[in-house]
Amino acid sequence: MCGIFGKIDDCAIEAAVISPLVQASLHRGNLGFGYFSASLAGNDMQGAIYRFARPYTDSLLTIDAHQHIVLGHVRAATSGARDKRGVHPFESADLLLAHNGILLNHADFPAWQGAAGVDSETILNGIQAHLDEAPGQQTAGAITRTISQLEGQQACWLWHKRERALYLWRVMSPLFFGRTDTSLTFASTRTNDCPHPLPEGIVYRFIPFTMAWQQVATFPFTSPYLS
Amino acid sequence: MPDSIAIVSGGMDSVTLLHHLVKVEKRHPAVITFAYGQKHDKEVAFAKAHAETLECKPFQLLDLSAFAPLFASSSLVSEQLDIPNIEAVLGDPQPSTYVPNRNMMFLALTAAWAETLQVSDIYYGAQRHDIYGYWDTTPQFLAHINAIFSLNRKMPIHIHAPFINESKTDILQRGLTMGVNYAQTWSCYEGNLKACGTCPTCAERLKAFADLQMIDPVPYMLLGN
Repeated sequence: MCGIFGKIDDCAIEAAVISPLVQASLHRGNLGFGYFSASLAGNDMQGAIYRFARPYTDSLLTIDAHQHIVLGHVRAATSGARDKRGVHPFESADLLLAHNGILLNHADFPAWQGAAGVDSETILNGIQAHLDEAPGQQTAGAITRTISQLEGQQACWLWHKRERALYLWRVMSPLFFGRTDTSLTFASTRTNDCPHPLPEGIVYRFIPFTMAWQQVATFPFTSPYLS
Repeated sequence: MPDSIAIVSGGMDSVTLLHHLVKVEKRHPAVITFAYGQKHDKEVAFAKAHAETLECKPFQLLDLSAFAPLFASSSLVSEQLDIPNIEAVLGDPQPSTYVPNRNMMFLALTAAWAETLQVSDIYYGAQRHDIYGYWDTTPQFLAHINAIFSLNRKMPIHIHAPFINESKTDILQRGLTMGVNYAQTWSCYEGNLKACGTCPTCAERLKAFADLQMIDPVPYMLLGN
């Protein structure tokens, strides 16, 4: 669950831009690599998901032309399947999610567990379950209702496929971001492009079409460390 | 004669464990502690002091410092690696403070001594939040290593980690109830006269005392005490 990163940009994103973000996270774990990429052009934001159950090399990062969204993950396997099934991002009906951290109580939510047995699936399936229970509710509410019940470290990106919106939040696990008028960059490791630590306990939403960045919810959390 | 063995580093968790075994569980543990080439051995004296106070015999200090080159990828051992602060290790499932396969070795060596002493129970002080950085403190690790030791044909060994589901705050609360003197423990990964207050274990220890609205009796550089 070990390093997350991403970039959304008005300009087409090239692999040479993403590679340094991935490289900066590899020390956090490099047993698997996965990413989602999509275009902002027209209504084509279905995108594609790539997953590799092997260490990252630049040859795995093949970004098609005119991609404006790249959201990824490098893995250190702390739970669940060690093969391709355990590689992030995980997908549900409405959502994609990648997670850095370790959950302590995910076994308490058997209905939210996934096929790969990875704790991160609990976050995704919990949010999807809350969305399914009350169609039309705010995604931020489904997020906070889920993660406020889960104990442990988490830095997550969540892509809502129909909303075409990105959500970010963190508890303990680090997450840094940077914005310009035309882009958002984030990663588990601080880089020149993402120098600002994302505050804990706050859910942020980023809408690529408008480049709108907004705090949409807060949630309670506990940490065993004095900060 | 001992009826068990406790692995005691001299830190907060293992010292509390030792007091718990003697005062609550009414066990008579032998005590083992390890010198494995760590940057300082301040806590070893505390491990011995608590063993003596609680009349736990025999006390074994096992010198593994010759193995230090095997552990040199750890910042607890290598002089070339700085001890990270808590911010640098959060979210990292195997930070530089991880000592390669240390707990497996400690438990294996302790199991050997247990066979010699003819005791079958070994205790170590893994706690709930160790899981964030150390695979060899997890319930899964405990289950698997117990499966291995259960293969022993004459002296099956059972490893116990009674605090594995408890936070450091829970452990501190237990220890205070038992009258543990935490001034006689050392958790900081640095070996200075005062604890640094910023390394991962200091951050966790300070949070435990803060949760109980208490002041840690150990002196800290950052606090000026």
